[in-house]
Amino acid sequence: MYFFKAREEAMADYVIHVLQAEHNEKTAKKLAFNPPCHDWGITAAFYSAIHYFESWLFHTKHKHTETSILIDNEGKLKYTPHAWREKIVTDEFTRRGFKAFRKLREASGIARYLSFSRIGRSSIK
Amino acid sequence: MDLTRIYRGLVESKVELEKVFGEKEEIIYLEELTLLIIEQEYSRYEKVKSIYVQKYRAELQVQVLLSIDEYNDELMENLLDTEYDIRKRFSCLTFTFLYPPVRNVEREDIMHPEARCIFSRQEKKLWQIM
Repeated sequence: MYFFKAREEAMADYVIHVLQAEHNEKTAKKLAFNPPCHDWGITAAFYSAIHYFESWLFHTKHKHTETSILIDNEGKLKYTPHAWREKIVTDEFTRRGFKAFRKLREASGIARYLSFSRIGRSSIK
Repeated sequence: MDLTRIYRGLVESKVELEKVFGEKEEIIYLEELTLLIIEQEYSRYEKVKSIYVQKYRAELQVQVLLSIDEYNDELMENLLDTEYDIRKRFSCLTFTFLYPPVRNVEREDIMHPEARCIFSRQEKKLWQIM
């Protein structure tokens, strides 16, 4: 009984990641090509990729990025979640997969912090 | 210590560094070697304006400032190829890399005061003139 309950809970984590990934992906498709909201569209695409990644990670030894970060001698996390996730992506994915994931993070950051001031103001009605 | 000479020699991995320096200081030398390679690899790109690094806990955070003002996919492809190679080569270290496009504007104000500049194209030009 415990086994089935544990398995059910485990699958829920996987399913939640997939559902969230799909939701973010739909949001990304709606917003990414509609300035000035393109910044959140690209960000939604990046977080969709993160949830797809986490759904894959759930069936590996890591299970979750946040809970698998190594701890130092003082009991503190050694790395930020983004850095740790990118290390796993580097170690486990192909060059092509790594570059696709990293491009989304870069585009997301650039769009959020650096593009609105240039194109955003003229688009606001 | 001539880190460039070491880099160009045989010492390129954590295990080899341990043999040379011992466990205690090996990670410091490894990080310094990594920074040298980061500087060498990224300074090849004309659009790389400067490179800053800072340590956050055990993580090396690298910011490669670009003298462009909008996203350039071809450049990003090349930068990420370089990043992937560095990550694979120094797989015992954990990094973050960021590539903010700052054009020709001085945007060093976006850097943390403790961040260390390991490359500046302007300084390199002055140095080359001398």
